[in-house]
Formats: sequence, structure tokens, C-alpha cells
Amino acid sequence: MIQTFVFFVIVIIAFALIFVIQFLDISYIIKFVLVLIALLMDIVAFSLRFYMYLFFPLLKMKKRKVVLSNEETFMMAPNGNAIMIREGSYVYASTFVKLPIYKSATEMSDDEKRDFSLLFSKLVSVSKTPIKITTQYYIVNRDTYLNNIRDKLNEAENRYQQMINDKNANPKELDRVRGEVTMWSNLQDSVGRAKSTSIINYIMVTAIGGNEEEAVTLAVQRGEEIAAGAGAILGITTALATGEELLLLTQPEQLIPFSTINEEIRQKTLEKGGA
Amino acid sequence: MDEETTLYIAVTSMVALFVLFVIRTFGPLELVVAIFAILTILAILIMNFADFIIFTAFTYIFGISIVPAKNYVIPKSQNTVLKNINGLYYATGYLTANIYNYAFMQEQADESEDMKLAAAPDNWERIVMNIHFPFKFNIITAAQDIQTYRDELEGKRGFYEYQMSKEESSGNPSQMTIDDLQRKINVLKARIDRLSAGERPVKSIMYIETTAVGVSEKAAMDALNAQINQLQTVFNAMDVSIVRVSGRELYLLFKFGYILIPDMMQIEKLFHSQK
Repeated sequence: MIQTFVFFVIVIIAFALIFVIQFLDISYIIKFVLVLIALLMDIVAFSLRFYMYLFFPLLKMKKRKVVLSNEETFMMAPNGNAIMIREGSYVYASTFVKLPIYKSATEMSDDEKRDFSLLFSKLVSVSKTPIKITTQYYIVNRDTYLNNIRDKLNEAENRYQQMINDKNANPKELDRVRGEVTMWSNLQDSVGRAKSTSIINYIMVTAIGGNEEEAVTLAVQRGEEIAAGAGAILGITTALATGEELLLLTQPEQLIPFSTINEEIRQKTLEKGGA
Repeated sequence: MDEETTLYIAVTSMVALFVLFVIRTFGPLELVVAIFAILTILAILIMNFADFIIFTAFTYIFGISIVPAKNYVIPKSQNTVLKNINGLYYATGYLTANIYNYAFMQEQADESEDMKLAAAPDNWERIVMNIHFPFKFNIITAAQDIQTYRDELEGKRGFYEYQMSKEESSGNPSQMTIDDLQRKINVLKARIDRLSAGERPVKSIMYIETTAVGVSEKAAMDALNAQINQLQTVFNAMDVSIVRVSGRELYLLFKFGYILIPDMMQIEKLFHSQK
């Protein structure tokens, strides 16, 4: 509605400008400049067909940055089973249905593979309103695991240092602790070097409401309907994603955990140092 | 092209045509003004069919970046969404990956379809094994009403059959026209046969999303480009059409990570230029 209104306002101004130019007693150069402005307005008017969402933010642009929103990408529903976004007077809520599929093509016969593909084709037509079916391949967050190894390594190194300083230390025990330090150090290197990856499949469902409660209730209801349908088709137990799982499915930094990046940087630094 | 777009083109073209109508007003500059008026019509048409080219050129030339949400930036190249978290940059890019259109454009239901279905899980696992970075394969889908769709296809087939019989009974029938109509009828017949065999019509949009990380914007974007090149190579095995998404559609895909528009027709309209 606003789009059509703004479109016609700009087009009428452009028309009026060209119309008035004819009757003005001004130089041809000024007329030329005015007609160029009118034609530019004409192009801007057409671009509103696709870029209305940018029109007003573009007018308020500062330092060549068009700010569409300065808020977080979403709000978490109080129950932690949906995410919400407010757009104008409406609230959009999305739920995520997890599809735990533990099948591999290597364990299937040709008929089973064909049947599995057909089941997936049925899954695609599970809803008449748009849904998003996603397969997400990501790097597993091993922060806690790596931190545990680091703690064990630090502890073993401390013990080793203390035993070296102790003149009465048992040489056999010293060898054992040295071995322990080497073991934790090797484990840290090998675990850090290899990435642990995983795949998660899910369906995203969105509902609109006049307020947050309504949108979330509708989204959860639709999510549960889709979960039941998808579960029946694939023969699996489905459930709605909640809490931190929602972050894993929506936030880019969750795809590559900080510990992995840290470890990669450490490895690169070591390689450079070695070279 | 939908009615609204036709209206936009018609109205904005009238402005440019009006300039040509009053061209005498511009005296010695009339030729230049005429060229600009024609260029305006051309720009409108290009924007209608490939707006991402003009929009991306516009943001690139003027160095305009877009902030779609807190901590996120779409840089001037308009093909990446960057997120800054604690000094680390996460760059996300999108690729179209449509399979369905090709299968549905065939004249006959493919005899090797069973083989393709059986091979799909193997192909998918091979792809996953060859990729060592995070990605998401997304399908936005909505099932269509079978009867409405079937009636639509039957109606089209009847129209082509009428045209063919008219051509055949004319005094000088053109074999090329008859062949072309026969091909169109075959395509429709193949689609109707698929529906009779129990397939449900769906409207879908498929795309791949990948995220790379770097210690600077450039490092993250370079890593993302490398990942996208690898995805393009690896996904060739699935016989899909892969194009990197830029411009307006990139912002929409970013939003689709959190919410979906409840109308599939509207979603398809939004993706009319980069499918």
C-alpha cells in the first residue's frame, strides 16, 4: 500500500516536472538538467517494485551505511521453543522441528536407497504453507573437551616442574609424569588438528500473529503438526528444537566454534614457528 | 511477469515516452534527451529482468553497505553477509541450487528415474565427505492443490491440442509449429502422468548457505569465496544449477534464516530473477 502510494507520488512529480518544463522560459541546459532529474525519479519509482524496504533507510543513510535494523536478529520466546521477530504491527514466530535421521547409504541396499529418496520426496510435500527443510553440516563445539585436556596438561606440567625442583623425587615417578605431559600434549595436538563434524536435519515453520503470544502459540502448533507429519513419513521421533539448539540452527558463529578457530590459529602459528 | 510489475513498467515507461513526445522543447539538446529517455526505458527493463546487476553496481560504485541487523553487514559487493563477534568475522554466502525444474521440464517421465533415486543418497554422502567446512542445504517448499494444478495442466493441454488441430487442418501446415506444439503437449502429458502416479505438485526454492571465518573482513570473505568455489565443484555431481546469489535476494535469504513469508507465490515472485 505504502509502496504504491510512494510510487505514484514520485511518478506524478516526474510527469509534472516534464510537463512544466515545456512552458518555462529557461535555458536549454537547465531544461536538460530538469528532465534528467525527472528520468532519474522515474527509475527510482520503478525500483520501488523491488527495493521499497531500502527506500526510507537509504534517505537516512550515514557514512555510506544503510541501516535496516539495529536490533538483534530475533528474540527468544519465553519458553525457549521458538524465535520471534517484530515486523511493523505483526510478530513472526518460527519453530524448528528436529529430524533425527541416523541412516547411511553405505548400509542400504539399492531398493532401500530408492525408498529413502521417495520418502524424502513425500517429506517435501508435507505442508501446503511454506516450510524450510534444511540439512546443516557443522563443526561440533568441543570447547569443554579441549578445555579439560588443557587443564590436565597444565596440571601435569605443574607436577613435572615441581618434581624437577625436588631433589628427592623418585626418577621412575618423574619419568611417569613426563610421559603423562607428553600424552596430554599429543592428545591436545591430535584432537585440535582434526575437526569433529556433524549433520542435523530440521524443518523451519513460521506463523504470524498480532502479538508475541499469538504468534508463538500458532508457530508451536504448526511446528507440532509438521513434526507429526514428518515423523510419520520418515518413521522417526521428531521434536521441537529448544534453547541453545535454536542458536545452533540460526547463528553463524555456532557453525564454527571459537575453540576450533583458536586451535587453527595456534596450529598455524606453530607451523610458522617451525618453518 | 505479474500484473503489478506490468503496471509499474507501463507507468514508468509512459514518463520516458512523454519526454520523447515533448522532445522539441529541448531545442539543440533534443537528440541527447531522446537518448537519455530511451536509456531510461532500457534501465527499467534491465532492472525488471536482472535488478541484481544494477543494484550491485550501484552499491559497489557508491561504496554503500547495508546493516540488516545488529552486528551484521552486507558489504558493497552485495554477495556476503558479515557478522562481527569479538573481533572475528563470519562471512556467509548463498548459492542457488535448483534440481526440480529440470526433472519437471522433461517430455517423458525418465526411465532411469529409479536409478537416479537410488543413486541420490550415495551422491549426497559423497558430497558431504568431500566438504570440510560448514554449509546448509535448504529447500523452501509448499505443496500445491492437486486438483487445481491438474485442471490447469488439462486446460493448457486442451488449448495446445486445439492449436495443433487448427494448424493441421490449415491449407499450408507448418511442420515446425506442429512439432513444437507436440513437444509442449508431451511435457504437459508427462506432468499429468506424474500426478496420476501419486506425485504431489510442490513449489520449491532450493539454496545452499555456507559460512567462513576470518580475523578480518577480507580474510573471511576470501575464505568464503574459496568455500563457494569448492561447493560449486562438488555439487556438480547432483546436476544442479548453481549461481551465487547477490543483491536483494541475498537479504531475503538472510531473513529466511529466521522467518518465512507465509505465501509461496510471493516467495517465488521475490526470487524471479535469480532462481
